[in-house]
This record gives sequence, structure tokens and C-alpha cells, in this order.
Amino acid sequence: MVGEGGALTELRRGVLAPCVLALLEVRPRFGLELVRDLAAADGLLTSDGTVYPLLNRLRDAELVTSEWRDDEGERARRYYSITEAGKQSVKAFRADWAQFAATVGAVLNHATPGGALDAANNGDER
Amino acid sequence: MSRTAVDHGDVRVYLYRLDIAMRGLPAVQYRELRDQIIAHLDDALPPEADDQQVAAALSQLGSPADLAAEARADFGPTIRAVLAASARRKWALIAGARTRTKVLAAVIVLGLVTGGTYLGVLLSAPLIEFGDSSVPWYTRDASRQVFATADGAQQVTFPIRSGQRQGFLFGIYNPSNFTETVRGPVTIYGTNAIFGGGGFDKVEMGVSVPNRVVAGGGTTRDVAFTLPASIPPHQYRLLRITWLSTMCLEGKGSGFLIDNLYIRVRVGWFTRTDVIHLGFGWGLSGPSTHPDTQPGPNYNKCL
Repeated sequence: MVGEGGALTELRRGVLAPCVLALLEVRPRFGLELVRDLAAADGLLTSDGTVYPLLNRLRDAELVTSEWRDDEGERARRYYSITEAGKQSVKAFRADWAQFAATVGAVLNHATPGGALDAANNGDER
Repeated sequence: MSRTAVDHGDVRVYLYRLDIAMRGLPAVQYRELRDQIIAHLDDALPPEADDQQVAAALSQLGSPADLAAEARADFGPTIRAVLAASARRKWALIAGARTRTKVLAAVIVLGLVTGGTYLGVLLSAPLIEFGDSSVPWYTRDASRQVFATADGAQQVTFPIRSGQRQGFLFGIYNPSNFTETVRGPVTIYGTNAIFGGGGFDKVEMGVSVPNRVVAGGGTTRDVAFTLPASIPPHQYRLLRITWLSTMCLEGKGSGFLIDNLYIRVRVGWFTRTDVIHLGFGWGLSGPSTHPDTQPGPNYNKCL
């Protein structure tokens, strides 16, 4: 059985890539900016460093690109942008996620026909 | 001169541990992640960050081992699915092509694969390694070095001579099957970063020339040094580095740890930065002896 911490860790790992892509869909961001935006969404990021290997994998999968920008008065920074394939991936994930979240929610709350029957047999109050 | 994140001792130790944890990863992947972490810390920390701020930022980054494990992780299911779909689309395109086009495409792909494999082998050639021997280059430093043991490792420290030239002689080894050519020290934004931070100016570097003893023989003083210098596969050389010590080590008991050496090395067509891990064996000890003698607000302060 997956422990509480383990289940959440696996969930975070699974959803981090689409979340990064969703943030980049709004506008290009540099590393620390992405980290802070993800950290602001409570519980999404357990450690800042994990974002960078993920960004590199997304880049290798051609879902994001990166370029150095040397804005006046700022240090040179590497900005990450989403590609067309990345946008398609987020779009597909949004649709899948809505269905998936609804299914998981229904099972967890015993709202499925089997779940309602089992709950009744176990004497759970509904 | 304002400090960057890499100048902080704790950051250098973190990067050293990251270097160790990332061993075995392709050099390109390893260097890219290291650069990203340094850029992250430069952005996250103020120029004169104190120890507490640095410790918090490093803790938030996660352990080097976890980071390396993440870098080694396979693609997640979402990305893998996208890649698989992309591969299916490419195969459908190939299946629908005419024979002549297929042959041409196969020749091009074969050429690209062969060239790509060669490039990959070059880029992932093992980095030059520390050859397990090193001495201070100047007699004055050698005569004042102090040997100590900490955490089971031997440490050798000698006092900084601010405003004067100091140096080391290292043994280095080329573990790869390619000739690797040492090109010189690494500079970042015009600053020598030979040991990962500032304070080492006018760096001069040379690699020993085998069988070219200048006179007498028997001591390192008689060896000729040159740069750039090619090191054939699986051979040792001596690397001499001298610099003008310009860092300020304030107070008795202060020190600067030298654990990594950054050099530019050419392998085949590519020039890359090699990180030679020296362990925790070398240190410059304070206090600096280079006060500002000009009247003004810095009078008699360490420069």
C-alpha cells in the first residue's frame, strides 16, 4: 500500500510537468520565477531543484524551448517558453484531468454504484 | 567587488556534492543542470547573503542526491505518451513515402546517426581527473604549509599572501580514449573562475611537456610547461597554476577552501569546461596581509 507521503509525492511528480507547461502557456518564465509560481500553489513543489531536470526533459521532448535574454539592468537569464506541441499536451491533459479527478473523487466519496453498495453493506452513513 | 552565490563556502560545498552525485551522467546534461542551479542561487540570493539565507536556499533546493536522482529519472507518462504519438505520426509519414524518398531518407538518417553517435561519444568523454598529487608551487608557501586531518581526510593549508603570486602544482590524468587538450583557465564575465570564485587574478597555467627537462632534472623546477597542451589517452601530466591573490580573508582562523579546479579542455571538435575534483584537501588561510595604505574610508582595511 502506498503511504500518505508516498502517494502525494507520486501525484506531485505526475502533475508537475503539466503544471509547468500551463504556467508557460501564460508567458515565458525564467527558472526562479517558475519555482516561485509553483511554490505559491501550495503543496505542488517539495524542493526547488526538481524543476530543472524536469524542464530539461520537457525541452528534450520538444514541449518547451529555452533562450537566454539579457534585458537592460537585469542579469542574463534563461527563459523557458512553451512550444505548439507543449500547448497540445496541456490541452489534452486538461481534458483527461477533469475526467480523472471526477472519477477519483467519485470513488473516494463512495459515489459510484459499487461504492454506494459497499458503503451500505459496511454500515457507513451517507 | 560584490560576491556571487558561488563565492559562498556552503554553496561551493553543495556544488561539490552535486558534482559527486551526478557522476555517471552525460557531461552535457551534468553541466547544464549545474549551470541552472548556480543561476537559480544567483537569482534567489542577495549579493551579500548571510549564512542563514544561503542555508535556507540550499535546503529549499533539495539534497544533491535527490537532484541527481531526478536528473536520472525516466520521462513521466504524459511526456512518454506525447513522444509515442509523435513517433507514430512520423512512422505514418514514412510509410506513405515513395521508395526513392525512403532510400534517400534512410541514407540521411544513417549519416545523422553515425555523426550523432560520434558527437555523443566525444561530448561524453570522461573529464580530466585529479592525479592524486599536488604541492604549493612557491618554496615560501611550501615551507609554511600546515598538515591536518579533518573528517578522515588530510588537509593542507598555507597562508594567503595577498597582492602576491601564489600557486599549485597538480597531477592530472586523462582517463578517456581521446586526446584531450588543456586550453586554459575558465573565465566568467571576464573574471577568472579557476577555483569557482573570484580573488584569483592574472592566472597563468601550464601543462608539463614530457621528456623536455630544461636543465638538471629531478625537480619540478626543471620541467617545461606549455599551453595549450594535448594529453594523450590514459596519460598523466603536471598542471601548474599561479595567480595573484586578491581576495580578502579577514581575521585569524579565516580561510578559503580549494576543492574544484575549472579548466577549458578541447576534445575533438568541442571545447568544454572540465571540473577537476580536488577533494577537500587544500586551503588558503587568513588573515590577509594586504591593507589599503591610501588615506580614506578603507584605510588599513583588508582589500
